[in-house]
Amino acid sequence: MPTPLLELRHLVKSFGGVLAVAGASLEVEEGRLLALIGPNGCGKTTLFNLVTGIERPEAGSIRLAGREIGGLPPQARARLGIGRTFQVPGVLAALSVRENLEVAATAAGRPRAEVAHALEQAGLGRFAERAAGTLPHGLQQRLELAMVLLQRPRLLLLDEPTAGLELGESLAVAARLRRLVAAEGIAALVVEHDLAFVRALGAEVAVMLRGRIAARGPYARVAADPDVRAAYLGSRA
Amino acid sequence: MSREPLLPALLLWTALALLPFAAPAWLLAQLAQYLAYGLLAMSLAYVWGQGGLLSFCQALFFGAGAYAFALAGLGRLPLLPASPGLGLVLAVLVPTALALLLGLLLVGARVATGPAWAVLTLVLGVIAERLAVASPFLGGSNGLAGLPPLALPLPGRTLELLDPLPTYLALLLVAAAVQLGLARAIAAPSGSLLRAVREDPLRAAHLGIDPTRARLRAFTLAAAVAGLGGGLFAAQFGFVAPPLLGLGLSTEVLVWVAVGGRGSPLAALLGAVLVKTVEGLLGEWLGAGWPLALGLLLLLVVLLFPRGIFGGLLARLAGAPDP
Repeated sequence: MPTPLLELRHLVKSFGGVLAVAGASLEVEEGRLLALIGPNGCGKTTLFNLVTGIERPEAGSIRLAGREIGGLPPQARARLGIGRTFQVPGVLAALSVRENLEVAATAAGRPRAEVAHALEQAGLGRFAERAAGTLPHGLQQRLELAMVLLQRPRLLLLDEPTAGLELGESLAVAARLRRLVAAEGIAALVVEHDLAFVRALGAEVAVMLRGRIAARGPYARVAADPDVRAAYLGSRA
Repeated sequence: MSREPLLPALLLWTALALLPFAAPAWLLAQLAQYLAYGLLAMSLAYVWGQGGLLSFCQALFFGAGAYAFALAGLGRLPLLPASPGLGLVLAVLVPTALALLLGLLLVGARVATGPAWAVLTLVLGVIAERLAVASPFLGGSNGLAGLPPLALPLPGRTLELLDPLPTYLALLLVAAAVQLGLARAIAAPSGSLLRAVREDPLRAAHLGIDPTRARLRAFTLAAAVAGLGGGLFAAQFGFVAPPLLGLGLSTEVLVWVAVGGRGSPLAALLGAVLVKTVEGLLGEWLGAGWPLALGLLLLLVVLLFPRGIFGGLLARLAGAPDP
């Protein structure tokens, strides 16, 4: 069996005695799209923070392509190919759209010529000289994703990419993500609340409950799991 | 601001280079002093405006440069000959090394933003001034006087920077070179990485940027510029004293930079010249009441021109995005 791109083993992280991540284990294979769902406070964002290096785990291991990365700072993990978007788009508000992309390109060692291409691809050409913070939410998300893609990540972590978007927009995001994963061979882990979006992704689903990965499989099977239904999906499924 | 517009800078430096044909010697001497302060102002504009590090100890590096120049000029350093030229080199190297050391302690300890940073830099300036007052080696509260002037080796003779005209021209040359150099650093790719760290260090780290390293570089570069200004200041006046290191001057430079515009070293330099000039005029008109009037003026400027008087102007010329 090939080594999974991301391999989390028994991760533990607590805040002030409260266990946020309680022995979570998860694997993400190369080129795989995986949705991570779970109720509020179940530890999804903390899990992301552990993978990107904002938080350090108290126990457990984080491997990227077989290499232990749990002790590396965020910038080192980014350079190894982990790209991340945030719930609140992490654009550099005072800088222009173009400069945001230039920063991302420079940091990733990509030629600045790629910036013009990224601007066009993201449909942000006519906003190039606007301060990023003045863009509407949806465009900021697009900019953030374009910045992350300039990094040429091997693993993409998306934290609620449809937060603040309308249904039509979020379905478009799902379609774009599917194309991206298929075309670039990137692995993507997507934290999402919006179950319509998760269904539209057509991806495998992992469910996080009380700091652990409680189930994983196709959406229909996971949604039928009695534990999952009781804890999270309830009557909405 | 991501670009220092080149044209206004070139116009300004050309105008200042032509000034000796029209201006009296006392004005040139005055401006030479302001240009030394201008170097200090540009250093703060870089580390604060570009790096987001509001340093309350920028005069510490200016003073360290001045003292390094004085000690080397007077031949007080062991094993080294008395040499103003060497003094000027040390005026850059000593503050650079000092900033690297302090930066590793402060920036490395991740206190680079917020109240801890402000208080620590503030305290550093106070400590430095007290140390200078207490140190016989540094001349105590009297400081060090009788420094030899800088000398330029010209073909056939040596030109001592004693008279206003050569002093002014030397300062002008250095200030212009530093301003254009900083403009280049700001426009360079590494300049945009520094601004990314200023905006959001965590986000920058997620793009692969090392925030600590970017800040440390900015802090050190700014200290080198401030030190150069301090060395040239000491060379002009022939003496150094503890207030050059202290909180008083560190606060003054904050005012210059806030008035001129922290987004641009050029604007900050103009702010230094403007505030020093207004200070002089207010002193003549109002006597002892001038600081009050200056305070009111500062308040007005901060309220009316959040980017600084010259900063807003230059930003519009550069076509920078609105904040």
